[in-house]
Amino acid sequence: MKLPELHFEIVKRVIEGSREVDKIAKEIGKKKEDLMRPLAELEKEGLVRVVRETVEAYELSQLGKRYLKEKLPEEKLLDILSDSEIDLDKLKEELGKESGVLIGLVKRLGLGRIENKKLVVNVEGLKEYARRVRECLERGEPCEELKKRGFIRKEKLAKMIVEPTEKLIEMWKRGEIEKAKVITALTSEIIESGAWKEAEFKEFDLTVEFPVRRVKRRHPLMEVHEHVKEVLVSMGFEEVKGEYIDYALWNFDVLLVPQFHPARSETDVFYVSGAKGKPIEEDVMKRTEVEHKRMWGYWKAEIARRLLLRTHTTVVTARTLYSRGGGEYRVFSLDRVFRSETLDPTHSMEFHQLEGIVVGKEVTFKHLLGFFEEFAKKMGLGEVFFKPAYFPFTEPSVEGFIKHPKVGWIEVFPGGMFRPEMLRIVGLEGYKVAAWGIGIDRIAMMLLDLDDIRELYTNDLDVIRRTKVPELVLRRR
Amino acid sequence: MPVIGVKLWDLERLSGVRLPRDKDELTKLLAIFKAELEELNEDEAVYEAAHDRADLFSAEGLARAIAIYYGKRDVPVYKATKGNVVLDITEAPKYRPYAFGAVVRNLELDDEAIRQLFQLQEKLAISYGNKREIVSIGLYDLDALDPHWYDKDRFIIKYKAVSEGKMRPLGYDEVMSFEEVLERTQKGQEYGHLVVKGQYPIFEHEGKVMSLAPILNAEDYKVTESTRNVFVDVTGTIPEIMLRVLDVMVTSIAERSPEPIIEKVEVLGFGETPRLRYKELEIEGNDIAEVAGFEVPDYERHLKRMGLMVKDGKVIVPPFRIDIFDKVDLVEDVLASYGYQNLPREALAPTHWGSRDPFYDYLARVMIGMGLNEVFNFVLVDEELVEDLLGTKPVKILNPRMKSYSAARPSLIPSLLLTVKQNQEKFSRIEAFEIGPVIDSEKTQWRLGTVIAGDKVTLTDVGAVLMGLKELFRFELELKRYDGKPFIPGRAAKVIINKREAGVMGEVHPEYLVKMGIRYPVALMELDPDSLRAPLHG
Repeated sequence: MKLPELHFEIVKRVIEGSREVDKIAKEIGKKKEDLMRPLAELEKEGLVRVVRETVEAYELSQLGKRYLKEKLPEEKLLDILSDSEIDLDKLKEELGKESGVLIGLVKRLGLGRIENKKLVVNVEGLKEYARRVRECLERGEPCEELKKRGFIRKEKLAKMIVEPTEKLIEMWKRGEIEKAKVITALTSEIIESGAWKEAEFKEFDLTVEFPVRRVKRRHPLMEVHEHVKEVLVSMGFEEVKGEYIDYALWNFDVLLVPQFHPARSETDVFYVSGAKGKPIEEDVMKRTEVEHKRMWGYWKAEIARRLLLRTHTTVVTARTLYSRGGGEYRVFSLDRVFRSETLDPTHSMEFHQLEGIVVGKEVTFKHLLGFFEEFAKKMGLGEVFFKPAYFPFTEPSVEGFIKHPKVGWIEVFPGGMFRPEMLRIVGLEGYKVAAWGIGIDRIAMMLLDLDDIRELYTNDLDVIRRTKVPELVLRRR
Repeated sequence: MPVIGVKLWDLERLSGVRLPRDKDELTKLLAIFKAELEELNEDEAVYEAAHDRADLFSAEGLARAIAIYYGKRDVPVYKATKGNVVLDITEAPKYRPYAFGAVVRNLELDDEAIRQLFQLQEKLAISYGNKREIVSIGLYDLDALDPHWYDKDRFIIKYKAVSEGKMRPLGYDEVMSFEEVLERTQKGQEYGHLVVKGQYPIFEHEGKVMSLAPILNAEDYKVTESTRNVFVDVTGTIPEIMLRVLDVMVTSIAERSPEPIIEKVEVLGFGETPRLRYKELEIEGNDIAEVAGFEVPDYERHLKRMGLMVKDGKVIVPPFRIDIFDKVDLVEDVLASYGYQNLPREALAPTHWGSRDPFYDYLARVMIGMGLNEVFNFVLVDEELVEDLLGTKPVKILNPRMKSYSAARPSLIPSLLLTVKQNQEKFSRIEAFEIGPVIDSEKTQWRLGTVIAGDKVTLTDVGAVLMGLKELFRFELELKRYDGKPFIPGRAAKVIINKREAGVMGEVHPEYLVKMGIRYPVALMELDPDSLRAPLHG
């Protein structure tokens, strides 16, 4: 039979005869409680019997325990004695209260007497006596002298005695009791051979910290994007994508931004070289010229032909209207846009916009506000409030605010109804278009608890790993 | 958007309305006019005006809007009467051919009024004038120019190009040549590029130089607290915008007079200015419901509150409301007056299912499943880095802000190497991927980039990722030796998926690693993610 290590250690110690549990525990270096379970198991196997009995026994009293550590009064006296006598005053000075106890003791033992205010002692006799008392104390033996001096007292003690059974003795003689292996990690060999049945599993020390398995996750920004897209799809939107480089025509002119508007200047927009634009839509150019000249009295084709990195995703929705025309539909685009900015905690020259349109015959401004409210609800953004706003290509226009847990109301929902001039340019008649753009970066940063946009747009694996899981993902629905 | 500073006491004396000193209350009031309060320090308010509401770029217009909103006054009728000032633009410079003018009389100005008019002039020239290029504005004290100006039958002011000349520029004690004005004054340095040397555009009256347009006026005829009568000019290149801006300017200046008189200026070879046109638009209740989605009761009252006159079912738009083109603009004013917080909100049920292409998200999960980290990098990269690593010229930004972001990446390779560089201090092995856009001269496309860096990393490390993808997506794979940049010759390959070139993979040449300051060996792969889902048949 293979026994786990602790079981084996117990058995080994009782094979020669009954032992007290306390003593076994002390020898193994365990607490008595640690042996209870193994003992129960050994008893069940019929290898030992555990007998509980009450015995009277002497134990060291408080005083006895004290003198086990300190010198006895007679030992102290022997230390300071230079010949066979000592002044009583000096004795009192050296031993304090114990001097009285000592005088009584030597008198009782007949090993000393008082003469002329001096204690005269039989030095050899006292030495011999002190040696015997010390020996009894150290052994814990119930000597008479200890009883007399109150160093020990009688106690009733519950004892647990482990007795070997016949079976154990027989098996031990035949060499059938062996120590089992300790398993720190299972192997297929151990599992298949059945060795685990007689093996002992090493107990894990749970106070020691485990190593960390590094999480591989989607980029936090993408975690938010995925969720946002799911919300929009559930609201009936189709995703569309578009080119990053486009003509100023689509980025500005179609959207009725006058050609002299400061937002088109080189301090705000990245114009590019080395890109070949697709053939420009001449019909759109013509209609743009008409509307711009009517609105602003000014329009030049060459300004519209400049190529740039798009500054908003409205380019994509405008192009969608041009290519798809009328109907009842909803599209969105969540993608990158570019502005001439210097990268710092709150600005980035490249960022994301979420933009969408709802096209239909019956679409009105109240439906746009309703969309914002619904979207905010699905995103867990709470209450929304609206203010009038200005965008060149929408009228009426709106700016929606949500409550940021740290900074208060923030603007995140700009939108409006596309202007009739713009709809004419893209060739849409008889339909209305509610358009919205959402500052998705601010929302993403809020959901991810980030204060610095550079931590949102990051390739730093450490930052990615430490970024909070977006609340949206955790929320039960 | 222009940021405007006003004094509340000035607004109050102009409007006759007691204004709230509470920030929230004032914010709400300004929001009706699409203006956003930015600061309120005791009596001084700073707000951002909407770009289209040029009439709110100074206290005069804002006070007028507030007074009308609270019913303290009707929409004013500004009418220009015949005057004696003639503007001769027949000798105007070709590059800045237009100048118009107006006279406003009976003014009562003080320091704050002058500050407001200059603010208006400046903000209009920035927002509508493309920083004075297409519109620039000047103001002059007519009595300083000639105390008897009004007694003359025709008081002629010339706008013309001159080859040289001098004046005492505004704010200076000395007389300077025009060249010196451009070189030595702050405005000269700021706007000098708008002027062609030797063809200086000036305003003058009988040899007195009134201004060097569009740079600086002459000190001698400047508007002061004692000015009663002003001549306003606009110069520029787009007449329509100039005329609108002149209307806004004139109607605002007139607010600084208890009994303003606006007089026309005869512009030789053009006609009379200012235009001060009251435009008519038709609107019915149904037009509002069509856009807003509900009937707004008593919408005429809202139009009036917003400074629009209603007469026989027609809306008359005053000349300072240059933001109104169409019915929809009127609808917005009605809704603003009705209160955006009171507007109905209604979710419109979709008529079609939504949809999107989930493939890239799926692919990201596959890559994560293979134990790679997803990273994000900018499309904008250092032009030099691209040319160096890839040997190709990327699409360049003509006006970059930072060298690190001066071109569009035509490949993910620079970004993948930047990822290694960013992380090599904290990690001794880096395994990452990016699914992102790249731009070449033709179009924007998406790429899947994989990078593995660390000691003893070889092509095998990324090759294993490719094999994992092959097993999952079941494509036909062929590899061809590739000796292109930035790889070690003989340790890179072209990846051909389903007989189509899909990308490259390879070990990056130590030469580039050293140049970029990368310590570890790097193997990387770039694929067209859509090639992974191309059908195998055919």
